Amino acid sequence: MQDLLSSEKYLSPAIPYSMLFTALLTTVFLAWPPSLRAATVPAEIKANHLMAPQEGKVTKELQQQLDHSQHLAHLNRAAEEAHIMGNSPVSIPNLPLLNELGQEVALMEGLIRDKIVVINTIYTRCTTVCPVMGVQYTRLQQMLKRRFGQEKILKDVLLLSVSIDPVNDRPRQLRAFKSKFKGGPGWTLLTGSSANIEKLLKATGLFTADLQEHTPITLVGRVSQNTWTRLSGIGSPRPIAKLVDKLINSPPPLAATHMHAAKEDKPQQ
Amino acid sequence: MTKFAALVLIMLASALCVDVYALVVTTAKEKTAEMSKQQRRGQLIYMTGRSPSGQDIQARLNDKAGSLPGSLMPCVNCHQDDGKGTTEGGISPPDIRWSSLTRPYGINRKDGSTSPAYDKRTIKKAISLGLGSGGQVLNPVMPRYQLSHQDMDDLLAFLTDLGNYRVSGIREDSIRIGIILGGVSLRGKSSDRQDTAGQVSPRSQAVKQLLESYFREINLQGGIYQREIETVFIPGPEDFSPQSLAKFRQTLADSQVFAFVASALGGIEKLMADFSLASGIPVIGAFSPRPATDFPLNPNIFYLLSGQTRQLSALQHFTQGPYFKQNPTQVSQQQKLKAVVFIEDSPEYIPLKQQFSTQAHHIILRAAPATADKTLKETLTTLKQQKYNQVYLLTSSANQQAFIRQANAVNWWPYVMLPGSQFGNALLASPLKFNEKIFIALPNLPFDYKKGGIALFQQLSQKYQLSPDYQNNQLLALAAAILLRQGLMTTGRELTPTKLIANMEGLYQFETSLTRPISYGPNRRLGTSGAYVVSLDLVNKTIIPVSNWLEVE
Repeated sequence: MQDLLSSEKYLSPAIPYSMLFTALLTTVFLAWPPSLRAATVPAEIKANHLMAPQEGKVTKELQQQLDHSQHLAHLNRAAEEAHIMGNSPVSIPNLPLLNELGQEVALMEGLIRDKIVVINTIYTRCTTVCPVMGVQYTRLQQMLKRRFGQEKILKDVLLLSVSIDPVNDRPRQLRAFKSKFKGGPGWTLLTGSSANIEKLLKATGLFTADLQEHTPITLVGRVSQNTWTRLSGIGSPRPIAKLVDKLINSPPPLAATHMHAAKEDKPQQ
Repeated sequence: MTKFAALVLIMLASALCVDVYALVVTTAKEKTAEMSKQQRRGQLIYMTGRSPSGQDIQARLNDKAGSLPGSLMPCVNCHQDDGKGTTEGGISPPDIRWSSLTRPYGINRKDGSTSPAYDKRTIKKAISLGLGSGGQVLNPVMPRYQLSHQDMDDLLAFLTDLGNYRVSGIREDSIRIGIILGGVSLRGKSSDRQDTAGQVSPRSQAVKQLLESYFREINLQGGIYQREIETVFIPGPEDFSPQSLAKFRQTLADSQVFAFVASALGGIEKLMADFSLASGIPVIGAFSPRPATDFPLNPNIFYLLSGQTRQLSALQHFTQGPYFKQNPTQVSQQQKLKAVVFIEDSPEYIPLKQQFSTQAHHIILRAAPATADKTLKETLTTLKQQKYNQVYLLTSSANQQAFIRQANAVNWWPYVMLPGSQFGNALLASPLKFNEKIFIALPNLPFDYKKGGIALFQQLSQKYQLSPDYQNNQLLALAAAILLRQGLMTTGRELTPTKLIANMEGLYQFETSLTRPISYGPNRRLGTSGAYVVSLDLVNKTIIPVSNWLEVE
């Protein structure tokens, strides 16, 4: 498992592309020819399983591992293709932003690197949908806490609310917004310079030019997997909790689904 | 035959005309509907999500999850104060004016389906169960409210006339503007005590005269978009007992003004915040030593000057500034400033404690100074021995004087720092040893008065023979009135409180010529945020400005 986990790092955009590229090439090279693959995969499994698989027999576990490594290779290949094609998948830049406590945080390194991230966009002066989104987050927090316990949630999951009105939403306002909905730890609200917020919103596809037109979307995913699912930002938090559950139970990068493009769930109107 | 037909036609036409005329008359009558008491209670529920009777109002978003306080999602959030609704985040709340809900041909929804017209029974279902008039489930964003029967009836009374209410205080040819005059101060200001209940103090009288003359002058010049300004002066509450406050609140509600201007809100900030939220009536140019500008912001109240919190911040900023470093003579024996904080044990001053770090040395003073005289003397002696040389004095003026007197008695003359809202002339009579050692933060200074503003004041003063006293109060009231005029002018003839507030928010660096430039914004309700620091020249009995304008964020 250690090896697999370390290979996950290569997918992170924070590592220079050259490294990523060579890593991809090696993985692809290892994974592609069947003879080579057969030779390498059992070695990997040995490191992970107490019982070595019997030679010549493809056990169920081995088959799974094979599948996984195929997936991995597939994942890498797709990333590589995307890189070549120039349309990179959702890549969140490591921007300096401000949280609701007024501390400067590095988005990627400091906040979301190894976590399952839930992102929505709010602004504190908004009266129509933002309170509903705030309530959804509090509910989600309660739900996750009941399901996994506070510690695991704090370790693995992060709820983010990004202000789309960074000029008017300073940490003070964000703090008040959070306390209005009785939000607990594990929910971070972000503001920052307009330019950085815009970069983040554009990277995640949540950007709208007009504040009033901002759509209630909740984005759920994990950076290391680069799988992002768009869910309705209003209404029950249950679908979000389900998705988080699924992600928690599928350790990176061998998630059950390797979706690259953000899966669109149309928000309920 | 043709003649007969023509006659019939004419008769019919006239009959129709009468009908049409009658219709016009009735709608016109409805247009000017005043709110009944029940409707006002309903309005409070609509605007704030709270019940006037204090009963619980709960909202739930979907049936499985628990309920939330109704105040998190009052009706007005989405449906706006006129019931027309605002589109936000792809959610367009329907028009809920009663006339739209009860159209005889029903309601055509965007998805093409129709549902029958609402009546009182079905609207109750919509509010409490989230079901439309056709039995369809409403958008999940519409909360389902649980409220008492009484509250539901009140709300319904308000809703059934929604869309017909006249904007409070606006007539065809007039705008009613309210002014809350300073109430009786309870904080031991003996000089102000001679005014008995029902009588306004000379200071309020001066302000009243000035505002009357200013608005008369506007009316003489044609008013604001053919509307004359009508002023209603409301004396502040006699004291802060619940009865007086309730009576005062009733007076406010009965005044039926469009907006308040130049109002002294000292001590009644909370009451005014609640009142303006519930009624939607804005306050332009409010004065208070403790402006309630905390977040969540009350959008309706626009303060003119910063209060003692920001003045104190300015003082702290000033202390760290170059003044004490550049004047080594000021700091005796080149030693560093060692500060002690005196805070009076009253709700007005205790919150200021947060401005200091926890390491700072605090001394809590009791509100009544006479009893504390002896202990105070002992405390001061100890402080002197411990070589403290700077004192933040956050007390009422009686305690300030007691402190100065006692400190002088033990031969201790530290720097005394005071937020300006408590600055009384009595301090100018302090012992000479305190010369240029008393520092006061003031939110405005005479050199903010520009030529134009002074000229206007002098014209008014000569024409209407205004009181020569309380000039500072008069000038600030005039600044507030100028601000209101600007707001009304930019809003135009179609006046609503919402539009006025939006236009006030848009003001940036507006020059009243009597204050520093005024700026407001979506999150800003303080016209000027900061202070000057002055020191007291006890020899010439005057103030010496010792700092530039210190902006406080």
